[in-house]
Amino acid sequence: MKINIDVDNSLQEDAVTIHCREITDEIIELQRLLSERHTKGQTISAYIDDTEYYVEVRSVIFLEADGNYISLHTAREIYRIRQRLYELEEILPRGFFRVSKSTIVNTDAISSIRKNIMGASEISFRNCQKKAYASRNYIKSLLQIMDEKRLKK
Amino acid sequence: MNEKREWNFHNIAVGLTLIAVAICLLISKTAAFQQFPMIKVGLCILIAFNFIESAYKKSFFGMSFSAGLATCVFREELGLVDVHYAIILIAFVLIGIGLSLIFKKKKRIIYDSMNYKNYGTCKTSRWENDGRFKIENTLGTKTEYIQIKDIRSGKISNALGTMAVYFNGSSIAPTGSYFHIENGLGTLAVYFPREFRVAFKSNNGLGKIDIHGQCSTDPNAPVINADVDNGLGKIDFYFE
Repeated sequence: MKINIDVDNSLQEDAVTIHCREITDEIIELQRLLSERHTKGQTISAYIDDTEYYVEVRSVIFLEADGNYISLHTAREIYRIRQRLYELEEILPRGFFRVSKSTIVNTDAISSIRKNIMGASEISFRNCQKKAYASRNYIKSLLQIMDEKRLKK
Repeated sequence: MNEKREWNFHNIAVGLTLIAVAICLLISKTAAFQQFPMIKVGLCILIAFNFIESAYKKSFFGMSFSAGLATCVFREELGLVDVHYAIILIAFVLIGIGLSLIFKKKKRIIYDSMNYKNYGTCKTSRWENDGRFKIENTLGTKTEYIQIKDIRSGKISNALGTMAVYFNGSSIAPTGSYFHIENGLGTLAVYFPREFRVAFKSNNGLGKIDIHGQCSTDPNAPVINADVDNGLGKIDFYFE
């Protein structure tokens, strides 16, 4: 694979474009690594009572709509954000994926998915006892994303 | 409030229609307005009301049936003298069924937490000033966040669905608290903050109750007396 760096002073912000003949697992992995690198250190502003916290995006395991708020779950805490879920969905990195009308999960934090063909599938996370639930409409797409992450030959 | 207003409006409309029909029937038996067929007028009022009501409810079947009745009433004017009443009605009923199948949208039941309240499968009540809450889930998946200061009592009830309840941001009343937790065939997960002191009294059928983590052992902390009743489902208590 050829790597070119094109320096252009007129650019407003840095951008990475991958030119490829087809989307392969290697390309997807490359995109994931770049995306991970990009989100490192990024934070979301969230509240517990009246205190504002700057929560590292990588530490978020899932977000869930709760009335007028969004509950932001890390492994230990639950923060609150007064924002719409679809607004957050637009700005969150690629690793975050909507699994039901009210829930977005961090696919990088998922440790297991217990499929349930009748109802919601249970999603477990690494180093945490919390669970999120994926509805039937979204589970297929989630499994595809998880499959992309799987180590392949 | 809106439902009540709609109900009142509907009743008024039905009442006025019936009065109008009754007047037409009475007039038909008198010498007045003999140039008008008053029974036909009365029937037309009834049919028109039924048609409008069906159109309002977006019922193709009702609209078609009304049209069928109107066709029966004006059979002669429409040149359908040779066609029997039953045939006309059956034809319009079939048209109504056909239109319903083509155009009527199927009702979709979405088992997402945000929609439960609309379908009545999950109901949550909180009385924050009183320190009480009540959560009921019958079907589907539901996550509930209880944030009440000085909780005195609460009831969590899950029948067939999957429910998760978080108590982060809540505190227990200094005099203690009583929770009644029941689960039928579903899966229930209750997340208590680690600083909560909970005394469980469990009654388990053929299901499973698991406690993960350790609750507070501070003898000065207020106690939650949790009365847990599980049937065939699974209850997980987490302290984190």
